[in-house]
Amino acid sequence: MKKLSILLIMVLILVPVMLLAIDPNRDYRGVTIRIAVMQSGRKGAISGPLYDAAELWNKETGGKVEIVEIPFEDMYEKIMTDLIAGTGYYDGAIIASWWLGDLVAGDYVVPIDEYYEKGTHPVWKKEWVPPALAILHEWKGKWYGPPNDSDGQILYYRYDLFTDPEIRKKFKEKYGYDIPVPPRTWDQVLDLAEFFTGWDWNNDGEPDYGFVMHLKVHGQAFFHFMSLSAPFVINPYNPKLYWFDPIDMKPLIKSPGHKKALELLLKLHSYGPPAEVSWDLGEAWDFFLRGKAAMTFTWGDLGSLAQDESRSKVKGKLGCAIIPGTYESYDIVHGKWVKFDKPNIVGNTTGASWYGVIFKHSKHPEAVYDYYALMARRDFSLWNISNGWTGVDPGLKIHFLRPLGEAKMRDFLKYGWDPGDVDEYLAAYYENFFSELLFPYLRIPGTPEYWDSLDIHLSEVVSGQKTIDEALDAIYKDWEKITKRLGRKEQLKLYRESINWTEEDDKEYLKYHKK
Amino acid sequence: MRVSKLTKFLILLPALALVLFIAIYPLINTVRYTFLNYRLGRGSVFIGFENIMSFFTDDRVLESVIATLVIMGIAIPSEIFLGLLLAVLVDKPIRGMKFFRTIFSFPFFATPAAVAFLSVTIFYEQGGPVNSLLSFLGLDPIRWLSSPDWARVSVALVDIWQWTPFCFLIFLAGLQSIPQDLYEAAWLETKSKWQVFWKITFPLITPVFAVVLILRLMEAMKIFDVPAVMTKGGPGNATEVFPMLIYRTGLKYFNLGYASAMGFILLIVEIPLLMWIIKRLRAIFD
Repeated sequence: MKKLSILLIMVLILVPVMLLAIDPNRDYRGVTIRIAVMQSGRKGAISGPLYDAAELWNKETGGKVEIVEIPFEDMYEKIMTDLIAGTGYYDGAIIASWWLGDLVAGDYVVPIDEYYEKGTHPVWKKEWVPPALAILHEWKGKWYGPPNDSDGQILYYRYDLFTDPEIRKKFKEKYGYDIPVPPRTWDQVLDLAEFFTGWDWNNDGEPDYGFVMHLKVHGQAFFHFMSLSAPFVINPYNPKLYWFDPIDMKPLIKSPGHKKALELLLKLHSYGPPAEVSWDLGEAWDFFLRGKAAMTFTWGDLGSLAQDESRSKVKGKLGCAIIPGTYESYDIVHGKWVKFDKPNIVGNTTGASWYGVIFKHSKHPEAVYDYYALMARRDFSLWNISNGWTGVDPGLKIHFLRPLGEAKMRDFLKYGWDPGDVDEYLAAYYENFFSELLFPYLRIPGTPEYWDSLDIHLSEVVSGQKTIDEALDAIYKDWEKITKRLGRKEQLKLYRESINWTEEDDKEYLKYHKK
Repeated sequence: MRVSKLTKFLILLPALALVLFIAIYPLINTVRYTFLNYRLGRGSVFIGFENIMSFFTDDRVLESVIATLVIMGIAIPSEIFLGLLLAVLVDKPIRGMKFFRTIFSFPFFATPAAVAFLSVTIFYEQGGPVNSLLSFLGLDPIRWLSSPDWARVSVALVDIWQWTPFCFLIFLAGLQSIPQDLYEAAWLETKSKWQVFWKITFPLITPVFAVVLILRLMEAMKIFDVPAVMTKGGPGNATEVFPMLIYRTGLKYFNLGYASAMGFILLIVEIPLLMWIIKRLRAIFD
């Protein structure tokens, strides 16, 4: 009896200990890794979930994570300064995808394929990642970070207004066709924006607007232009060329397609509050969430913020759709406009799509990978995208509702989502990320500088400082200067690699372009 | 006790080393970078005077210099005028004046970035306090941050709010150093306050005026935090002041060569300009 009691006590003590024991392949006790991330606070976008992951990682591995938050506008400089100086303060960072070119060119980051193949780290699958997003993690066939956030812009509109019988009647009387739900072309959006501008459709005593955008310079306004302009330039005849000529690296920004897109941006701005020229993301989103604008287009954050009734009047009223297309698109390869019977729709991954990279100088690269892999693991990833405050947006196959993915409606409902909004939101994002045509992301060295030039001159157009032609000329000149400084041959090589431009593509292109 | 030259040198050595390391070495390096094309991760290449030539043909440099001069042109005269006016009003042996002197000084001690953040709210175009007041008075709201011209005015207004107390404090010190018997003698000659100010006060505080002007010019040429927070240099680059452009060129684009050239040229322009101002003012005072 006594022996039995002792045995029972030992079992009662040992079993829990064994269950809590750390996997020897993931034993990082005594290891502390330092990770840089955009500053948003413990419960803020992108940075917040790192803290939750750190607690979980500590339980699973014994390792510790020191999270260093850096303001978004300073993050690139601080990290690059650390890497260039060789200080080695950070083991890794949650980067914006467009930095990868600079990081790879400078040989500052470590590919993760070796750790992924090992199979001893938290499991995530490359097959979950749609090609549109996978390309952001890769360079010349090597992956540099597990998936985390999936950025892309979609159109948000007021489903309740678009389906209101009275409003629909008035619209049809004015424009001769029914309000499309959802809008599929930019021409339809322009008509709708005009229709909803200048009268009080939300009964708050003030006239309202058809459209709102975040157009503040150095406030990510240039992403608006990228998403909006995609269907004017990218099409089945030209699926790859948006930024530069693939033969001589001359900017393509002055193409008729780009110009038409900029004309559209200006028209949309005329249906928005003039103050939006100085509005950051928060202000523009707030304007839509307060019910002052009928439409906007932006990232997935807006869909989740719409569920927060302390600041949103549009919960349960959301309509979401892939960015509208056009019936006419400029084919850069063949040098002509092409028309389509149905709208030319182009998906996008505009934005940062923040994910973790491992710095070469890190003394614990595998530990860093393990931490990132935990965040990419199915359970954590699903938790991340269903909680709006995390700022992590859906994009992996597992994020979409069954049968498309593995997420369940209740995963969203328990965090306060409206079921109608969930359906709209996820359907739009699925269509976006799995679209046949995709906006080509720029990831070559110097991308921040190319985009800054675009940003500044776009802002000059919307604030009336430059005409469209003057702005496009200025962007062209700036980009040429940047390319010359960074080395045209090297830039061209990296650009061609980044868009998978082949010699076959050259043959077709050179039939129509004398070089 | 006689101290040897070697001992004197050794005593000075730590301070000398510090100055060399913190000031002289970076300055020499900046000049060196001016003649290089620095490319992130790809090393540097000697390019001679190309960075300096680019400076004089770069539209963005011209636009940032104009933005800086416009903001300085609005802010500095206003600060000097208001600072002097407040100092004259407060320089009276009346009860409560010490309180006002303290209150008027407060903005100078506020953190510029915090002030700039607050200003974004104050100048908020849709329902912000200033535009709400304008609407209440029957006036049209102003596009404080979305119009290029008004954005420069907004930045200047914040600068005026913050730096007027600095001018006020220096002018007040100057006024209080003027002997009272001069005023007593002046009041015997005239009853006009303006005459007393113009004939007695103003000439005697002109050296103070020179100090304020030079200090404000030197500081204003480095303006950065207020436009960086309020407008991020926008709309377009209407408020992208020259220091902001240098910062972005060097630390955002990592075009360290060109940024070094910009900083170096600013230094070359600033020093002779200030020396000329000092010389001219000295000639006027003499």
